[in-house]
Amino acid sequence: MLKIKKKRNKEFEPAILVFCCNWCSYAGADLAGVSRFQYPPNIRIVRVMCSSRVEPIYVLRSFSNGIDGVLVIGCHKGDCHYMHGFEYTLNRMEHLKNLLKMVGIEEDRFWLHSISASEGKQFSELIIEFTHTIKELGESKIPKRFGTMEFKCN
Amino acid sequence: MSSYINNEIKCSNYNFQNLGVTIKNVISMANYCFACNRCVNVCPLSHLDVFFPRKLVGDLILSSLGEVLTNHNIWNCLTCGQCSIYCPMTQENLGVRIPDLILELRKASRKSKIQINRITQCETHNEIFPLISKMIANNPISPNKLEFLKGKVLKTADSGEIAYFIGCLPLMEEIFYNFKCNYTEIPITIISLLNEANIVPVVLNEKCCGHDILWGEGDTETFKKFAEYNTQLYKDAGVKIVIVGCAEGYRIWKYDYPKIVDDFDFKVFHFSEFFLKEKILEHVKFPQSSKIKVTYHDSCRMGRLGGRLYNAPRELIRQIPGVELIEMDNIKDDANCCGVATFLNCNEYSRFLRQNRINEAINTRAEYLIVSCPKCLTHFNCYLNEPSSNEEKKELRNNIKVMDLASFIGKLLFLV
Ligand code: SF4
Ligand code: SF4
Ligand code: FES
Repeated sequence: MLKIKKKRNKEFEPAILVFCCNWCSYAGADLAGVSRFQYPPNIRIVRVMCSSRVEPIYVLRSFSNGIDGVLVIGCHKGDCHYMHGFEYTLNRMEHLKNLLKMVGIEEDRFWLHSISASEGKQFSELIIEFTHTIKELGESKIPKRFGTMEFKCN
Repeated sequence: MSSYINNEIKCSNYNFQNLGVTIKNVISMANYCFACNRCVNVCPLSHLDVFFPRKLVGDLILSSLGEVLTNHNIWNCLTCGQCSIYCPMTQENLGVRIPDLILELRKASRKSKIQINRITQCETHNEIFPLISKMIANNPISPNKLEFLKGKVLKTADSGEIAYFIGCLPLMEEIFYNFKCNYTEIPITIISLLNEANIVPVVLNEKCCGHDILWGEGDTETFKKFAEYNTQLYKDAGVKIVIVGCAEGYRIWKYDYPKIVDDFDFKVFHFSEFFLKEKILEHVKFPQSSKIKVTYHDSCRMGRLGGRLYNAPRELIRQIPGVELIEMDNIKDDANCCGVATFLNCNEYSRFLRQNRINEAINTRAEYLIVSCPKCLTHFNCYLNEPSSNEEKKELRNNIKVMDLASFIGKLLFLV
């Protein structure tokens, strides 16, 4: 579980989870860091080998554990290290977006994007934009940690 | 008796909820058993050496509850109800009703550590279903699942007397997108046929019925939230009659909601019942087609556990001209289970049960296996879609298509 301290009586600081694929977008995030492009400190990055590793349940679980926004970033279409990975992701996430709507989670809390290894600037811009969107939306309405989730996540 | 039980429980590592009532219920149910062993003879799982209902009932009488729950895995039972049909001691509201007994045990013990481990082992699909149920139940924002009706010329209302409960079909469409089961064809067909008879049903953004969370996890808190939300929603819309399109929703609306909601006064119909009552199919003109042979699979939630609704769907199939209904060997009360209930326990045993049922259907030489439960639809389709290097086997499987009753009618009428 992310520990982003939420300061009381101050501006709402969202907790944001970012899934980056190892080959392009994580390198892009790395470049953003190396080039010292600034972006808000609300995100935590989970590195996965390919964006198609992100199962819909990961996103749902993040929301049920109190995350306010989830961002999945992969390579550009056709650039995926594993050939067709990102196309799978596109297909999968299309259905997930519909599912989230049915669960009652605002559309803008979940984004899917492509960042290549050379796009450090774009990465920081994307994070700034996403954090801004989530801040506007406010805290996630899903009550945190219900049922036996904590146990099952281990 | 009860103090004895309490003592025993204190030593075990279980902490039961609502201890007194549940245990009294369970023990008094178990006490009816006279060990005739009929339930074991018919239970599909005891044939596979997985679960023995009589042993469980017998142990309930003789040993402490904690011991029983440690020795028997109550999450293995399919709650298919086959045993309670054969049990000579089962009567209305009396006797050993093993599915109810299992449900009580699940409710009482679900929070203990051993049982949580066992649930986790039984869960399938990464626990996506219980997770989604809990999220929907606890979410103050109401779900938005009527998107699939957009762009269709269907008339629905926001208030009125007759409501159609869609349930989780649109959700399943998104989760099992690669199975191509076309779950949303079911509501589309039902609503358009109702429209054809000049009935404009109330279709609302209700939450799930809560079947899986109740029967699969024994989670009464979440289930209560669903029950209260849905009944309140319909009450506010002035609904008197609820039409349900799936077997599990039917069982829940008809038998489980009245138990948990205080002033429940809806009349609940399965769509086949309602169509027969209103004579909807009699006025519909079916296009000419060649003869189609079909067979029908009774689902447990509409049959053994749902007031034995066997004739309405069959009658509906007979009303379609050019369709011949061939029965399988085991039907109605004896209908074999599809193998999975509530998305628990999808394993080699349940695969065997599915295989068994599909083979029975293939032996009738019917072209379609018609089901009335989305779970049966999913699991049969899953079995048929399995890759197989055995060409002969594949050929056999290609001989049969599994379809829901509503979407079958919809396909014939070109509604979907
Ligand atoms: S409900 Fe079905 S699986 Fe469970 S004990 Fe009875 S026959 Fe066996
Ligand atoms: S069929 Fe009924 S009476 Fe016979 S052993 Fe099973 S539970 Fe007991
Ligand atoms: S490796 Fe980047 S999306 Fe597949």
